[in-house]
Amino acid sequence: MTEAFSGDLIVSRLLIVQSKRLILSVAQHQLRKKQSEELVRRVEKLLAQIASAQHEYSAAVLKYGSPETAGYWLVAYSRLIEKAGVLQHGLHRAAGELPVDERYEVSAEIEMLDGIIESWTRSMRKTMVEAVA
Amino acid sequence: MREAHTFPELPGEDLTTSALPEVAGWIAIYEELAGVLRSVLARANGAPGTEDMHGQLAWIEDRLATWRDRHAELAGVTIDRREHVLTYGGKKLHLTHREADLLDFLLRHPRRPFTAKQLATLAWQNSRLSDAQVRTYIMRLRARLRDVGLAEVITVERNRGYGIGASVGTVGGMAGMGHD
Repeated sequence: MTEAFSGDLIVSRLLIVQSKRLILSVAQHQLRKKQSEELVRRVEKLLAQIASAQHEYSAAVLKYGSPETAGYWLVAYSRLIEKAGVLQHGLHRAAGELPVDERYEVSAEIEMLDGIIESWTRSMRKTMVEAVA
Repeated sequence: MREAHTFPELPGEDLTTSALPEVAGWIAIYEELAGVLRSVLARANGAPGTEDMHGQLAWIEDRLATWRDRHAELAGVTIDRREHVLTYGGKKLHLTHREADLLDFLLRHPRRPFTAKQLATLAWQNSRLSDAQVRTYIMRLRARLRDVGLAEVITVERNRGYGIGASVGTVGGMAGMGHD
């Protein structure tokens, strides 16, 4: 895939996310003015579509984006933090129900994940600062 | 592999039943995490800031392996890959090399459907097998698994592929999985 095509693909996916967000804000505005089942359903549907479009955009950046750009690293770190966060939350929630010996092991795992998430969050902040500097 | 249930369960508590879907979920997330990290490292290897990522990936892969072992333990299915013997509920079943590799691969990747092409490449490292050949292996394996009470362990999701279903460990497993 050529560099120009990869760039176009990323931009087109980003435009999809942005346009869905604009549509959502209009729908939310309408919902604030007038409550209706149909509008609630529409907002829910748009939220799901945005999540999916955001996922597609992130996947395109990770696959075709340049690691020399801040945009690539912001997407990479946020994806990693999101996944590790879900895992950490799930392990935390279930830890109390595990056999005692396993509970200790999982506690250590949660701590390790804490440290990893912290390190990715620091790196992401640093990337953001460098990008706007 | 560690021993399961070292501590006695409370009356009415069945850790096997309650933990299996959770463990399958963690495996799926660890796989995604490792996948993202691998792809980042492949694209940006050597870039500043990636040094720590190698260590993080190694740790994640280690946890992934541990949870896969734990999942197999909770599911009550063990596969001796050298002897190609499956043990479930005290029953033993001799499998062919390919059958053992396929079942072991599916059990290690719960909650995820794989297409015939993916299975040929990932479970057998043989991309030359046709979809029809993979289907035949799966049909034959499913028929053989019936003998040890694992009739519906391999499930089929329309247009998505094959996976590990609800019957392992007698718990609800893959959402949306149907049986063919």
